[in-house]
Amino acid sequence: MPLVESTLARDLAPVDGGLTDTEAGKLTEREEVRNPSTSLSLPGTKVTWAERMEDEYETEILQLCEEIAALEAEKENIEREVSVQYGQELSNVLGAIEEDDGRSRKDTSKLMDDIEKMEKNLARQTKLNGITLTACRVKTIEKSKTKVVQQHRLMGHCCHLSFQVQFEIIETQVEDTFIRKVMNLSIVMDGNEIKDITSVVSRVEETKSLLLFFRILKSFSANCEHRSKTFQHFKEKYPDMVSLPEGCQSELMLIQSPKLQGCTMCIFWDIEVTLEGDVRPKLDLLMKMPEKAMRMDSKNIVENAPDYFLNLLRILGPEASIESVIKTVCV
Amino acid sequence: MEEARDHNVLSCLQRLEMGALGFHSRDPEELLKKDRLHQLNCRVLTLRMQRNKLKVEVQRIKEAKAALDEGISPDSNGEENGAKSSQHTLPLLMARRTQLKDTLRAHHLIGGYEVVEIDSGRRVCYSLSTEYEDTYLDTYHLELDLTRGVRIHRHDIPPSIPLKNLAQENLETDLPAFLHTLREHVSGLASRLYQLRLIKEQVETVSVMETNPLCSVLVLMCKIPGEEETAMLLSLRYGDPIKALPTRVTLESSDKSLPDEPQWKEAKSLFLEVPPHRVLLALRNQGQIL
Repeated sequence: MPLVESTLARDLAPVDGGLTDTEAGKLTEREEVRNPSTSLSLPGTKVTWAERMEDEYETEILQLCEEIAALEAEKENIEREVSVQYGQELSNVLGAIEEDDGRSRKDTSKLMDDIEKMEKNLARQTKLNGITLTACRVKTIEKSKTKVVQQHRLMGHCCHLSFQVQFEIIETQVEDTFIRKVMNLSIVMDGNEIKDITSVVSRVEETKSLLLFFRILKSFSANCEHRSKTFQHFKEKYPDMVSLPEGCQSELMLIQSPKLQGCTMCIFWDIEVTLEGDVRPKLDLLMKMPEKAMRMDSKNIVENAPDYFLNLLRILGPEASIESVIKTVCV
Repeated sequence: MEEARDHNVLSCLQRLEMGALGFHSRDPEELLKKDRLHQLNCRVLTLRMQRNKLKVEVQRIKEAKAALDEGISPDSNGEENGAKSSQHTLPLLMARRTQLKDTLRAHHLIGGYEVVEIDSGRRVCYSLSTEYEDTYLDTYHLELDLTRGVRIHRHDIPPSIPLKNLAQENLETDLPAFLHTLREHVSGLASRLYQLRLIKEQVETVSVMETNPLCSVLVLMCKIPGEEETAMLLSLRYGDPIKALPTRVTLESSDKSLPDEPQWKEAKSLFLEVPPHRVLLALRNQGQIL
């Protein structure tokens, strides 16, 4: 049946311009009119022909879908390469278009509007998340009709804590259900404070709990910020008595009275992080007294000071408790 | 007379014409097949168009990249360069859009929020992602009306979550805090529901006897191996609505001494620290439950 095959070949030949549904319909009708023999063949043969056509079409549809997915991934990856390599030039382009005459602006106005909206959106998103991304590299590793694999490399900071995170997102579609999973999560962090959360970070990497990590990071950095501001406040308010030997970012604050030589109070402000993601401050008071003073302490005030301080914390909170400790030394 | 009409020349010609046009069969199945082929043909043509368009776009962005690599600046003033660079402006803008799209998506993945402005900024829609370990679960939506203060316009938050109470606390005063608290609640619920699903899927021998919409109570029945099969009733209570681990565990059995045995005391404390489906799997592997 050479005629049938030639019709099929003509039907499946690449179309440069592309056609609308109506045009496609007319084309099919014309071919049937032009080649009545395809329709007038024996009933048995006709069914086989229709089935073969259907198979051919379905095979090509699958191939085209795969090809489109691959091209989309390629396009996105090249665009990402360009944006990474030529970030500055992109800003210049935006500036040039702003000043340009109407015609080229008309061509790009849709894109410009999109970009403007996205930039506004990004500012809102950054504010809401409390996380600033300084670099975002995405690479599409695999893309098909039912599966997308993307590799993300993010750099940024939350308050003064900086991080680098790398992970893969695998999106699969099984019938109507859409599943999104995190794979190969690795986290690198900078800063003195990170020793408090290293165990949690390794647990997060193990369970690949991406959202949990950032929830902990936000809460932890907010706590660090609060501690740092509080220490700084007391250092400025009582410069003669308060010292921060390891800087305001550390967990240690020393209170020494100029009048009482050898009498030192240490406040340790730790930030505890549980594996479930709870972040809470833990403050302790340690006292260092000369031997003489210790012998005179008949009521065991020095020994019980840490417990008294914990009771104060429960009632007054960190700032007021530290203030009252400093004031006892002032007298 | 009927026969004469049947052999009429005109009707014969009509039959031949219909046959030539492919309408010789009025069989609905055959017509359906024709229709299906026509649809498939249209789909192929549409996909080809899409493929060809993408090929052109890929080529354009490659050319723009090559031009940049050669050092042709997109905002250069030279006539030749200017003409050349204007062709590359569009692909560069597309690259910028992709960059922004990636960054926004990354924010959504790491922060769990997505913000969309509706109706020229009069309304804002927040999407709240939920997750359990490495799996993203349901996404909930909350649309806020900003025309007169901040009001909830519509939402798909489960009714078991006290949205009204949370909104009264700090919706108007501190929106980020409200969203954070709300996301913790929906995340807690989604995690507990997912754990329940994992128990049903992974530990089929354990029966789920009772639960509630907030999934804050979970009563399970396990069978204990032995000469006489004993049942153990395990009640998990989640006191904290934002947590995925129980705060109280009680064990009941017809054999009164069983819950006081050391291995069950250990299991009881384990439920407070490890997700229930994992504890149950471990108990089954050790042969403590069937």
